[in-house]
Amino acid sequence: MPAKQRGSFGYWTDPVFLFSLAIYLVNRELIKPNLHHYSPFFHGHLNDSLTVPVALPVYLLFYRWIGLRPDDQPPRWWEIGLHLIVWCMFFKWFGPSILHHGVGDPLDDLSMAIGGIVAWLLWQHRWILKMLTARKASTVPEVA
Amino acid sequence: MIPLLPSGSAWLMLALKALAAMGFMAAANAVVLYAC
Repeated sequence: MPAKQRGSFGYWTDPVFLFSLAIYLVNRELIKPNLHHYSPFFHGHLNDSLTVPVALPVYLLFYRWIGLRPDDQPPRWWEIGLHLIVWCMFFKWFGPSILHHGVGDPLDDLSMAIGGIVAWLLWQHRWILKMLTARKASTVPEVA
Repeated sequence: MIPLLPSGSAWLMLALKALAAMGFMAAANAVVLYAC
C-alpha cells in the first residue's frame, strides 16, 4: 500500500464513532444515574460493546499522527482484532489482577467482541457491499 | 544487501514509533480503566 494513500475514515468525525460516543454519554449521564437497581446491561455490557467504536478511532488517530498507520482507510479487521486482544488482557486480567481495579467477566469480552464486529461491519460496509455485488454479478449467467 | 529491507535508521524509527504506540496504549487504557 502506498505510504501516503488517503482514505475515507474521519477518525473523530466518523459517524460510527460519534454515534457510539453519544450513546456512551447518554448512558453515563442520563440512564445510569436514574437507575434504581443494578443493571448488567447499562452498568456493564453496553459500555463494553462501545469500546471498539469509541476508543479505536482515537488510538488509530494517534498511530496516524506518529506515522505508524500509513493511510486513512477505515479500521481493518486485524486492527480491531489486535486491539481486542490487548483490551481483553488489560481490562479483564491486568486491571483486576495487577492494578486491583475492575472485574474480569467473560461476558464483557463477548460484549466487546460483538461491538467490534458490528463496528467493523459498519466501517467496512462499502467494501462488503462491493464484494457482495461482485459475487452476485459473477453468478449471473451471461446473455449471449 | 536486499533493497526492499529497511535500513538501520528506518528500523530504529519504526521501533521508536512502536514504542510510542505502546506507551500511548498503556496510558489510554489506564485512563479508560479508571475513568469510564
